Amino acid sequence: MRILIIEDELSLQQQLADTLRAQDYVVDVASDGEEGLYFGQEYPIDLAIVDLGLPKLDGVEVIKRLRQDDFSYPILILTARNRWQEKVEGLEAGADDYLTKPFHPEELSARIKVLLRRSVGLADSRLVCGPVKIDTSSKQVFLSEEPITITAYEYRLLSYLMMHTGKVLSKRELVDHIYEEDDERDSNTIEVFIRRLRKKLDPDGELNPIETQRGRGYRFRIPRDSA
Amino acid sequence: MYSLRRRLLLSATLVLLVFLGVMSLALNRAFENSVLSNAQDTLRSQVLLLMSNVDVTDNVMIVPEVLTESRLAQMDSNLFAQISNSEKGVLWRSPSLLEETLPLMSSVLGEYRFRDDLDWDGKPKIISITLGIEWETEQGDLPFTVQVAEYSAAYTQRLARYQRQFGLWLVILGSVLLVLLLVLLSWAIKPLVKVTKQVGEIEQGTRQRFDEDYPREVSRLTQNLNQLLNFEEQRINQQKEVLGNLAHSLKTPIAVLRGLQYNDTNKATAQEQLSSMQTIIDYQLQSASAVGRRRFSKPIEVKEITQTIINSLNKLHAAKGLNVVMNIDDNVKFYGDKGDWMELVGNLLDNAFKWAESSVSISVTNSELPSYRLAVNLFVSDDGVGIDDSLKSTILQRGVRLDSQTPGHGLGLHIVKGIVEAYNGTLDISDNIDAVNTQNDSGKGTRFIVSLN
Repeated sequence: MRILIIEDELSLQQQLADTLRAQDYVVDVASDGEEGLYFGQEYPIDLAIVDLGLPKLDGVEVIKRLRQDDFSYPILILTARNRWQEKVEGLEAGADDYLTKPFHPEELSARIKVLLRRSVGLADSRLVCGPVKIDTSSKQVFLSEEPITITAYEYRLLSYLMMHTGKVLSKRELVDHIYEEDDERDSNTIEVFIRRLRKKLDPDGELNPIETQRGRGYRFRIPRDSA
Repeated sequence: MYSLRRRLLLSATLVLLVFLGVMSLALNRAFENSVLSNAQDTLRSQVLLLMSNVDVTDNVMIVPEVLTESRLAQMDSNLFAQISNSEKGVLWRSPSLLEETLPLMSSVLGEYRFRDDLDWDGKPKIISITLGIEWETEQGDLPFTVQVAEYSAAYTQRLARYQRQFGLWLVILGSVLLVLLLVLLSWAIKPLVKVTKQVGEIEQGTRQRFDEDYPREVSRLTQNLNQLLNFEEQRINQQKEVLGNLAHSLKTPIAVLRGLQYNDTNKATAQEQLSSMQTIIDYQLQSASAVGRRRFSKPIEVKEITQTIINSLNKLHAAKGLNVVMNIDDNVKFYGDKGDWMELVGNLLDNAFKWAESSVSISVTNSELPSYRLAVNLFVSDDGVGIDDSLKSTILQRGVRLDSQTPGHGLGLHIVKGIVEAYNGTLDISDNIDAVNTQNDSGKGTRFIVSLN
């Protein structure tokens, strides 16, 4: 999952980025409104955290323009001014939630999880597709209720596939949502991860959860369990 | 009522009355004098005319039967004459006297004397003249008095007619002057009336500033008021901005400190201190930033703003799927700061959304106040677990901080209280009767009742 942080206070920006990276998110940072808007439009973002008091372009304006351009990923507002007038402005502009500074880091990650879940239509932190189940809060994966060990990158890939189950996802898109901007990005590694995931999720070769669509990408085949 | 217009009108009327009164008195006196001297002239010439007819022979007065003045000869005339002396009494009577005698009055030799107050045995009033004469004869001087009298009715009638006419003209003149004065006065105080009207408009919020085109005497006032309005607006904006900046500059560092990794021994202390710093900042800034009643503020349309808050809260609490009922008429107004209203309603509704089981309702009404303004009555209800009675009274006490006392009703209620106090309003908390009556057994719900005057 790729998160964009638009925050002009550099120490806070750094801290947020560190916290979120530690939780296995891919993080982009921008220090002013214009840069933030650019990243928000150009990068495959899954969620944006926007400070309202930004230089160059106001946070509310950034949100408005993103929504005008039909970007529908969840947006979380950070605001130091704990006035309803500001909150309402931000929410009316298209944000989905707000958090008042200073906040507990735990509170922030809880909100982010809720928003991400909501954006893919999940009611709680569990994501179940047939026998495969992941817990997005503990980042654990279960196969027929049995926990299986999985690396951080494998988890990122699997959760992204499962959140968009049924959709064909290109290698390019998967790379974008799994790697940091400046990471060594080799799309061949996706193939490696897919192979490892298949081995772990389908040791007997009966389930075949991940389909390869030649020349197009990969698709998680098992539909999500309702409720 | 104490009114400038009334004072001006009263003083103008008074001046007019005094002026017209004195004038009419003077003119009346002058006319009276002229009538009187007119009468005297007539009588004097009658005396001379009579004398020219008289002759004395052998100490006997001879008056011709046919007089030059025919009125003296007529029987029902209003002109009379008699000649008398102290020795022999009445020597001659004009035929008009019909053998009666004019009341005697003193006379001086060679001088005319006038009387208009002689009493003539119940006959109409007369005006009378005498001339004392000594007629030189061969037997010596013959002294006698010539007296001519006339009924004064003719003169008093003329005077009365004059007075009637004069009075009529005076009334006409007075009314015309009064109307003219009225018109001029209202023209002169028109700017003041305009100021009053514009003050009303500014208070109602339909106008921002006074016009610029006032006369010199008033423009000092209106320009200063305009400056005051500008100043107040600036001050409020500045205050808001300063507080906002302060909040921003303090909160971000705290957020950074919050996020740092602390070791096990100092972690609890650090977090505790940071929490308390944050709470203090929140309290102080929130209570300081409630603007309160502004002297000249544009009323805000309650419905639209409240709807945006509800939209936002619906978004934040989408998962709960609450049934929200808003009961606000289109024309409900709040005379105060928009930010204050959003703060008040936002916090109350936020609590209601958090605690509600299935439904939240808000209604706002206006009620009349004796002044220009309207009172605002706000009801926010939820069907949640409700608040204990003991806690309700604690919340309502002045100056009580609510941070740890009311779960979920913390800082928000503190802000609500601050705003209610800033507007001299009242805050009350009760159970939500609708919730008690209709549904859940677990909760009695809560209703917040705020009225701002």
